[in-house]
Amino acid sequence: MIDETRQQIATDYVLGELPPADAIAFEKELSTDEELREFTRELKEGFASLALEKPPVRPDPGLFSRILTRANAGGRPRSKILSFLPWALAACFALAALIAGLDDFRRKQEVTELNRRDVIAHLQIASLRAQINAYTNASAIVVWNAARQRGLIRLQDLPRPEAGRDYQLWIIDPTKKAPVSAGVVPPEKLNAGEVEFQPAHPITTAAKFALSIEKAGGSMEPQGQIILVGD
Amino acid sequence: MERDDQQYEIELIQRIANGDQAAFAALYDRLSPILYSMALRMMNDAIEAEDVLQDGFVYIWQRANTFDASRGSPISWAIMIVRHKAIDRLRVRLRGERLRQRASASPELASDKDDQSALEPFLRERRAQVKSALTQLPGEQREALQLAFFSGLTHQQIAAKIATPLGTVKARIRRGLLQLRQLLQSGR
Repeated sequence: MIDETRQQIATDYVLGELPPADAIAFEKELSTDEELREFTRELKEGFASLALEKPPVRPDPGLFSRILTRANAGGRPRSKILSFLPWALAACFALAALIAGLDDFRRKQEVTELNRRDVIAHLQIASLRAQINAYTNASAIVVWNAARQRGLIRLQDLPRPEAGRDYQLWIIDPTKKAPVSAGVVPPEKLNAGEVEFQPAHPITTAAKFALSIEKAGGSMEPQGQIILVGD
Repeated sequence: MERDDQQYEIELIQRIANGDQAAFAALYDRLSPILYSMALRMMNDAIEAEDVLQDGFVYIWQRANTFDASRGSPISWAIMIVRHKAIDRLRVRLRGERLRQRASASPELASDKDDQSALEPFLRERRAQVKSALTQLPGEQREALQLAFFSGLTHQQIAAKIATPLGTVKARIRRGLLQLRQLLQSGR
């Protein structure tokens, strides 16, 4: 039996109303709780069915060719292994640096645009934003290369962690039961350019990236507060 | 939906994840009329609805490998993707007061209804079920659900719009969704 509190969380999740950190925690629950997964699936099917209330309308016949052009410009689907171009990473961060001073919305738009460009089409770029008020000014940009299974993160305006604590990066892969550690950020590298990372386990799909505060040296699974999240 | 139809769509998505453009075209043919209808209702503007559909299908092309059949059907996956794309645009639009007024106007669909979609008559049947289920919901739950789905407003904004406490709005949406789920299950 799913109690009312969890029903509400499931509802908020389906409607996209959960804060990212809570959504990640809920997805973790879904991967282990079959009853909750089935309940949430049914809620989602019911909610999505609202789209069927009105009759279908066929869009402009030329629209698909425009979609195809855009899709092709963005490269093959992300499951395809593509070659790694080191200079592209540099290009990413040069461009990322240009947009780092913009507000969140502009940054998101710019990152979307970057993802579309041919030069970096095979790389995934994520903009991580603060989840809690104490870190409102903090942000990060992640560049992830699935083919090489490694990436770079640039952190901005992140305060030094308290003694005995470290920032730890996580990759949320829907095919895994728990977030995968991508390592601890060395304190001396905070706000000092890019930090290279490699996940502890192979990543199939990097759906989201998150940064949490953990005990010094890091944890096997997120235990501390998640402060930045993005995809 | 017929099981075979759903299985076919799952196979299309798997092929799309491998870069199969023919599968992409087939999925577009099947789903675009539903998704475009939804986008039109949300955006109340044909050009913006086309942009939303473009965003959604490009995302489907790029992220087909993230589809998980254990979490939902292909059609609900696609609906939720396009809805998110529409909400992204609506929330930008809602920042301007002029556009806020426009978005709150009663949305009427352009015509060009598509009864030739590959998914008819499933859609006709499902649409009848959804309409029937919605009429059985209390009016306040139906209103809250429809605002939550189509308006792009957050729960907080919905609460402000209908001058109702946030907790009440959340409860109406939750109860409405639970009841909708039951009604649709019993209608199958």
